Amino acid sequence: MKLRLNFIRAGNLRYRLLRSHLQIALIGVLMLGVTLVSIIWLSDTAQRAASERAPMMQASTSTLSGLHRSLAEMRGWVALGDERFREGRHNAWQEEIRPALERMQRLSSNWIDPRNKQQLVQVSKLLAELEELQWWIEDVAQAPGNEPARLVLTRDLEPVVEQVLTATTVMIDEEMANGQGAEHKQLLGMMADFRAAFLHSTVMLSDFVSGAETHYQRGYYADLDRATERLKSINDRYHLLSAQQQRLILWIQQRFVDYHHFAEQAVAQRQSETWDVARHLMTTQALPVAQQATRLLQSMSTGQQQLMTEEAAEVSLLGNIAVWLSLALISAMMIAASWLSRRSANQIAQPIAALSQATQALAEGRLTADIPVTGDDELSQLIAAFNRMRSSLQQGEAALKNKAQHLERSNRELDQFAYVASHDLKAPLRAIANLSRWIEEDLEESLTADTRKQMELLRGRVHRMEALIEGVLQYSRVGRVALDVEQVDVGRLLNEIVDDLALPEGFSVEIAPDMPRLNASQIRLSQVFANLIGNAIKYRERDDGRVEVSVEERDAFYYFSIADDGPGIDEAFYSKVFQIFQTLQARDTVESTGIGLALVKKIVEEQGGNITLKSTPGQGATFLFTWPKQPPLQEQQDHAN
Amino acid sequence: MNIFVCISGVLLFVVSQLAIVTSAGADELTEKERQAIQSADVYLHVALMRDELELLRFEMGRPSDHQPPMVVSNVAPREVFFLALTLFHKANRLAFEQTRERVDEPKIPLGEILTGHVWQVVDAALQRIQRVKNELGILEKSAPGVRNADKRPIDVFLAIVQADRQLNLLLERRFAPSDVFKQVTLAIAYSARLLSHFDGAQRIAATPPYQRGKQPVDVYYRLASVLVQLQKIGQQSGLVMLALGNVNDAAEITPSDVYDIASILVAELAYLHRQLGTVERPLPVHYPGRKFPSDVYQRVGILEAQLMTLQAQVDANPDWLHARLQKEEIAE
Repeated sequence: MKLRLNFIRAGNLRYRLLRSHLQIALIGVLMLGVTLVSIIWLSDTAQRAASERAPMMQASTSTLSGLHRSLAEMRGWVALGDERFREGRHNAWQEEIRPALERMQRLSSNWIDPRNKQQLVQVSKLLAELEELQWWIEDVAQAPGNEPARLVLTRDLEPVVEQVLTATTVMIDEEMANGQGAEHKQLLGMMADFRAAFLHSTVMLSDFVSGAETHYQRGYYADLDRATERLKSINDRYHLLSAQQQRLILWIQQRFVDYHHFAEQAVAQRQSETWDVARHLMTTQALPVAQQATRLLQSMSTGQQQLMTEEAAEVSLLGNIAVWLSLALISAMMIAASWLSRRSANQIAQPIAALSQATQALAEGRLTADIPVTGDDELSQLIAAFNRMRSSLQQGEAALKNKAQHLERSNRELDQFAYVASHDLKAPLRAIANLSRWIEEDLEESLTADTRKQMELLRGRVHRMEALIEGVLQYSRVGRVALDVEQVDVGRLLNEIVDDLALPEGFSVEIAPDMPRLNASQIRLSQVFANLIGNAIKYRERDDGRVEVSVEERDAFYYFSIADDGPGIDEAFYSKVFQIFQTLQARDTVESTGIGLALVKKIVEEQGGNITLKSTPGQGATFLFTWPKQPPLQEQQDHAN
Repeated sequence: MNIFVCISGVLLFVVSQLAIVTSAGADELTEKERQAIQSADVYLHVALMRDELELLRFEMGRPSDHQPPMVVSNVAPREVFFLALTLFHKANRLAFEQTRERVDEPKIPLGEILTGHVWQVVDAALQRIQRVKNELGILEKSAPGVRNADKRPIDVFLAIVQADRQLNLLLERRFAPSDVFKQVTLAIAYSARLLSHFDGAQRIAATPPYQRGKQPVDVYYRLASVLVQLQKIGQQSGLVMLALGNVNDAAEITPSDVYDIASILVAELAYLHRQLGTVERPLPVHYPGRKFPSDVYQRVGILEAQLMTLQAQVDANPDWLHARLQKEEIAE
């Protein structure tokens, strides 16, 4: 837990990296969130348009269709009384209006605008009102009470008419049977005229009730007046009537009053607005309610259509917005991420870059001051450590410089010593050799063979001493004394060496024809080849011999091979032969300083190469050494200097 | 204190009697006079009418009614008022049959129905009977009875039922199934109005299947059952409504009783409707033509279904009347 806390500790490099990544991720998440919201909005709008508007429009259209159908069926029922119209009306409600209304109510649960819900409530109420009204219209339309005037006519008036006509007929029959004379003839005419006028007034009244045409009404009143006048005339001749006729005329007069009463009632009913109750209800109540409902439904349908159009436009707009928003967000995210990354990279990489530059400068020896430490994270710690390292390195370098200067002085002294050795020591040696020869020449005759031999030995040791001194001098100069780098034709160099070595009779050196040209110190390369070929000649055990020099080019090096067919070297002495002053044979046996191969090894290694030996005793030895195609940098610089 | 109350009561009674005696017609009653009228006064008026009817019955040679009285309880002036209206309808019809004169029926009050309103309707019916009596040339006068202050609306109700029954026997065109049909249709109209206050409720139920061979007594029992249903609705709504006693012998039920019970049903529904405080009236009912008891029975089925719907709505919202009034008050 502690480790974990350390890991997320503020200022910690990991924490900063994590924070940087999280910031970028957070921007991405925020942008995705915004995009998601816009997509959800878009989806919601599209879904609403698809799942609410269209079904709502369909439902309102279905309700409208059902409403109109119910009205048409209603009219059919009112006009014709055909049962099929009634069933049709019921079906319109059962199959169309109510299911559609239920659908709308289900859909309304998702509505947001309270006005729409209010409209639906109003439509529901209006439709319930209409259904109730239609029920009443249907109930009354084919009932006798639907036309109160006709009801009065059939229920009240017609029995009276029947009674009056019957009584009048009886009266006329009696008058025809018993009436004599002009007065009775006139009376009979009055009775017949009364009956005709009365009957005609009834017909006129009936026609008026049927069509409400005014000429029938006028005809009715004219006939009624005529009948009234005839009845009065008959009554005026009351004395001419028989007893039965007198009772009948009184009864007829009473019924005539009833007739008049009912007829007036029928006329009044026919003239009233409610002469046809069903039609009146339909016109004054049902149709206005239906129209109101139709308007509302159309308004709802139009509203839904408008909403659908608006939502379609909104979906399109939102789609465009979503696309542009996504693009904008992607751009913004890229910019923000880039900025944040750059900032974080700068914060994190700047110290690293500074450190890198400082390291470079340090390597080049240009760094003299500490890199500023700004934080306490790992980088700061690294910079601090680097500063410490730089400090100790520069201290070490200074010490090294001192030592180098000291060494340089030593080298100069050594050079001086070498010079002295080569010059000052070699000179007495040459003098000793010359003196011994002069002594020998002076004492030529007195010298014994032994003395002469000893003198020879003396000069031999002097020469050996001189060779040793020369060898040590050369050995010490390798790597210390800069030599010219020049283009060397190795083949030509080898031929010159072979010429200088003065090969014994029977001895040959085979130089491969593909010897390269390379930039190198000719002296050093010459020393290597001369020592190796010279050793092959020096240590041969027979008069003849053969040395093969070949080369192979690989990578940055040339691989030279000097193979002889001499006695070979036991493997146990492979390393010994390269040690200075080491010889495999006594110096008295073979004149040797023991420096040659050590010098060769030092030269080759100083050039960046190496030397190896392969040999089988009795079958010769092969020395393999590598030589760089280009001289080492230091040598080049030295050469340039 | 008691003396003061007694004196006030006596003065009120004297004033009311003076008002009744001096009034030329029912419409001329002032509000104060109407409020002064008590059940005892109405009962006295109905008793007078029954005496007048007895004179007519004797003159017209019609049978006398001997059916046992109806068993009811929880009778309020409103039920008596609507029963009195049936009395008026019958008296008006009798008057028309005999005199060819027809007058408009008294208007149903919009507000609370008081005993005074009942008195007015009974008085209008009495005038129609007296018109017939004059037409028939009956000169005898019925002696006014003695006022019994203990009479309650139920006594008036039962007296009107008896008068109704007798009056029905005097008619040439007696109250038939078509009249009951009209009353039931009116009840349906009221129920539809009541249901209109519940959103989504079907106002008029589908017509049930027609059942042949039904008798007036079947209609009566179905109407009685509907009345019980309505009484439950009333109770749930916090209202007391008329309760009809059981009728064990079907022979005790006359066609007039069927009309009366239908009228009572209308009265109760009208009362319930008035509680809504709306001025809207149901649509007028028109003559349906000849109807058989089976037609009426079928129509009562519609009413029954309506009341079931209403009961379900009231079950769901027993506070409906109170809530509605509160809603209106807030709206105001």
